[in-house]
Amino acid sequence: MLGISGIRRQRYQTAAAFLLPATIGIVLFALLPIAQAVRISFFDYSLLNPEQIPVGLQNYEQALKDPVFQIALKNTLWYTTLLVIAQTAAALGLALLLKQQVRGLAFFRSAFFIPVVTSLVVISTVWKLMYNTQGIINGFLQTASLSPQPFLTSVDQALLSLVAMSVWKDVGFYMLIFLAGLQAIPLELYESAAIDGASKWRSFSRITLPLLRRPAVFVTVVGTISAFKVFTPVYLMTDGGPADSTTVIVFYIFRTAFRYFQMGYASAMSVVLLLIVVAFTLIQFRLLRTTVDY
Amino acid sequence: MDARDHGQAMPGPQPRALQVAGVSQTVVRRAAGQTLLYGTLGVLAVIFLVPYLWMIMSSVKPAVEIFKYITPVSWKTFIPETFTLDSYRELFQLVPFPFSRYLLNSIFVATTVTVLSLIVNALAAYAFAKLEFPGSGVLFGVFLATMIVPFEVLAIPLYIQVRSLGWVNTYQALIIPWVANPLGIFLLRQFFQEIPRELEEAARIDGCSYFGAFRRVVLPNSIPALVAFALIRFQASWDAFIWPLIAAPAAEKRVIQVAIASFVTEVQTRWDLTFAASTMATIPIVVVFLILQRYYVQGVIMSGLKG
Amino acid sequence: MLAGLVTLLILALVVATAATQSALAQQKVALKFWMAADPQLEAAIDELLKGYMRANPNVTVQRDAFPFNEYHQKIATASAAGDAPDVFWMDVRVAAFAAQGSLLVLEKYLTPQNKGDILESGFIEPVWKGRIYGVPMHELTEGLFVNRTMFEAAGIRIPQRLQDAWTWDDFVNVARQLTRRTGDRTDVWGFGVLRHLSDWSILPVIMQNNGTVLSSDLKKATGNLNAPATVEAMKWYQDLFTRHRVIAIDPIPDGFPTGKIAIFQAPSTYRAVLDRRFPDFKYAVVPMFRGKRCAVTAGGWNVSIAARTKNPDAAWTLVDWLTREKHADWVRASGYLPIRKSLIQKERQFREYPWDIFTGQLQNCAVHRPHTPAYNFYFDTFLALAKDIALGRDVQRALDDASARLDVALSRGVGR
Repeated sequence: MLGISGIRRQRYQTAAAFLLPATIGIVLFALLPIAQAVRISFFDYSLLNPEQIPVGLQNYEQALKDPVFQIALKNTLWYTTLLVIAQTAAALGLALLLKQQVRGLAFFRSAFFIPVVTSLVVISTVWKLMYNTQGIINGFLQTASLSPQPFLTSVDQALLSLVAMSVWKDVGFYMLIFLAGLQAIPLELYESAAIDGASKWRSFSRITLPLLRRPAVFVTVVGTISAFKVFTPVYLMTDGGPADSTTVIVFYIFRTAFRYFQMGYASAMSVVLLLIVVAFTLIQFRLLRTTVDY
Repeated sequence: MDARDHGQAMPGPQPRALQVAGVSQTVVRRAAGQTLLYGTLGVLAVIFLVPYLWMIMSSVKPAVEIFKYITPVSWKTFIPETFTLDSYRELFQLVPFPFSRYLLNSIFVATTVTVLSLIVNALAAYAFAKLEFPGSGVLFGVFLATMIVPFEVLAIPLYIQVRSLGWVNTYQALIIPWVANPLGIFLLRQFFQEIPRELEEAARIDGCSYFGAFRRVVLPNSIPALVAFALIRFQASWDAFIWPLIAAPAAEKRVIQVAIASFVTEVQTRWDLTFAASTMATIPIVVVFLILQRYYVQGVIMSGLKG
Repeated sequence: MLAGLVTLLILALVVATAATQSALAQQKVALKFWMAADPQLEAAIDELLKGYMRANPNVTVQRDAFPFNEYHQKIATASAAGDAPDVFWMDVRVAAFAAQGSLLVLEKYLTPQNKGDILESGFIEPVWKGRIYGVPMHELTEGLFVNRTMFEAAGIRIPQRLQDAWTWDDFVNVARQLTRRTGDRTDVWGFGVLRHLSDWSILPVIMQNNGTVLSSDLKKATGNLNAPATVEAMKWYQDLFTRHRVIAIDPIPDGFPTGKIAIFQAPSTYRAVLDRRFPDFKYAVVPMFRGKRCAVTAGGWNVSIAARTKNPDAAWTLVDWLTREKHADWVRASGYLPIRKSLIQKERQFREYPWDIFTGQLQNCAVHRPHTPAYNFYFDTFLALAKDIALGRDVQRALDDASARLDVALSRGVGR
């Protein structure tokens, strides 16, 4: 049926028309600014002064030597790893719980999902108060005769506290993905496994997990990309502290640009961040060895 | 897990003693399992909902009371001793604009972004999903790659770009840059790919153009995905803080998150106003979500991400 | 004949002036004025602007306000895109903006009379490399606020005169006395600070011990921030957190008026907050404690003009209106402290309790934050340092590390 160039041309023209608005938008508001940011990275450029002095690779050299940049990378990797593991496990766990034909399923599912549709700015503000050493979480702990925790004022707990809050916020979304995945697994598989005498654990590991691979990949990859970009909780709750323990890379870049007005240096760090995330994502794809049609 | 009925006796006649023993064992085991299940779910639901309860309850307390009964935790931590709507009242008496202005700005911006987003991204997703053309994969890859870039990194170049278009301090600046959304294109493309080719081909045979097929076949079958996408876009726009702060300064175009930030002044933080404003910023979207939940869940389930 | 000539000259002068006036009046000027957000202050400014526009009908002023924490970032991004306002508030960060050429030098507009009327302390922060880039609108300094009910119940005297200010030891004793615990939980903290762990609040402690933070050329921290006098002061401050445990590591929201904090270090404008929002709360103003000498941080908003403004002269008339003509009105409406000697002398209330604590401290004990172009970096480093110390880290080591970091940034020069 194909082969007549007229039809193909019509298809190409339609595709071009359909894609035009989105392409214009992405070129104007994503690609061009990215190119501009890359360009700025080769200059010494203060936000307050329109004069830009070209400095070659100096900003990149500075980034590689900057101990805070290295700390920021380390914190970001640590945050991302913890968050993705905790979130994926929790999402799967919640999905499994809800799969048990629970009465009032809609209520629980909604409860877990409401944070997903709540503003991160609002959540950060409220949780900062909740994490206050004189706040409500410690209040609950003390009422239960447990010792109060320092949370955001502790070098050891601050990053973990942010991870916990992020899991709380987004797990509902990933839970839905897993729920959908679980629902797609035919019941006959479980029934025949039961007839063959398989234990619950075995049917879980041999049937459920492998068939959840595709949603798991989605959850992991999207979760990772999103975790790398974390900014608002750090900005509103900890300001990178205490002792730079929550200084993540986007926050450090933002601070360098908007508080210290060093645009060139901030842009160079952004480029380095981009390269790292791209590499990370590619490695992830490789490791998870998906055969999806991307 | 297959469906189980709750605590029914084993089928068929049994010797009486065995029957009693067997039934009670299963019943007890099931009851214990059920308690554990509902108990766990209950505790989790509390963990997820308590912050909202605290926020809403604090918004109807007088300023003096909000932090008075935090430790130790008692019923007073949540239930106000003195119920008052003063915080909300003051929000609506703010100068130069009452808070409702900022709320309306956010609603206007978020709604426009959502509507335009639906159109622009659905069209693009359809092209990627159904219209084969050379370079489709590369273009799609480039779109996706831009998703990796955090906004804060682009803020200044984007601001300069927007300025060169003459859009500083306009609503366009708050809306247009956020319309094209690679993640949305990705999700919608997944969804469209699941729609059987035959449906479209039937429409095309009847003389529809591609656009007609899009409008009459693909879109009506994609309502769940579109609703899901709309909700995500709306919420992302509603949440925006740094960009509206930079791009649209004037108070008349201020959005809700920037307005809430201005409750922190040189000498105090108006926690009472913050709680009231945060509650107002949260409840509407949650309500909309609860109403549209069915579509949203369906959208995710049918999106082809499942396996 | 001579009389006729003189009359002619005077007439000519009058006509020329009238002509120039009307020529100026023909040009319509639009000015943008920005300030940090605060509903009460914004309302007060709007009143002043109404009066200004009435007195200068050819000028329209568009005022806007931005969240306090994001204010300077907002000015910087607007400047970067060429969108800077004409007239705007500027604080100790004048140096950062002036060093990059963003601000207009104002000396030619300041008459000697005008300048002489302003307290000397007002010309520390808006000055960079000897040139003046801002005119102060008011002064701001701090004091201690105490919970009167608690003090009366414990029978502790409330010092109300500068000379009765607590010594470091006195202060610690009082704070300890008022701190109440139940087991692990502290119900009442003896001490709290509004600008928690910021250099604004801690600088006085260092200077009260005759310590310094930066060298006098503001280029070096080592040898100052980690010198023995500063170390000693910071060790004393650390004890408040770790040994005496009179202050919480986290700021307690609204802790003072809700009875969770007994002594609260806060700016003078906090009085207005208490009076307006917690009218039933009984408090008293007390002078800042003193070490080997008295010291309190001072520094309010100045008004600056953008270097690239299109209407510098018109902008100046607005600056002058806000800082000089309407100074008394502004002080009355805003609750800030007067910066002009004429106003302090004219109105008795500034020489009476509780105002006299603030004005007295201003005149005798004022210290200023280092107005370096790298102020934001210095502020963040200091905040991190203070948090470290409050958490119990070794003071000398923390100060050494912070000094090293600061040296690098400060020596890199002009804000870059």
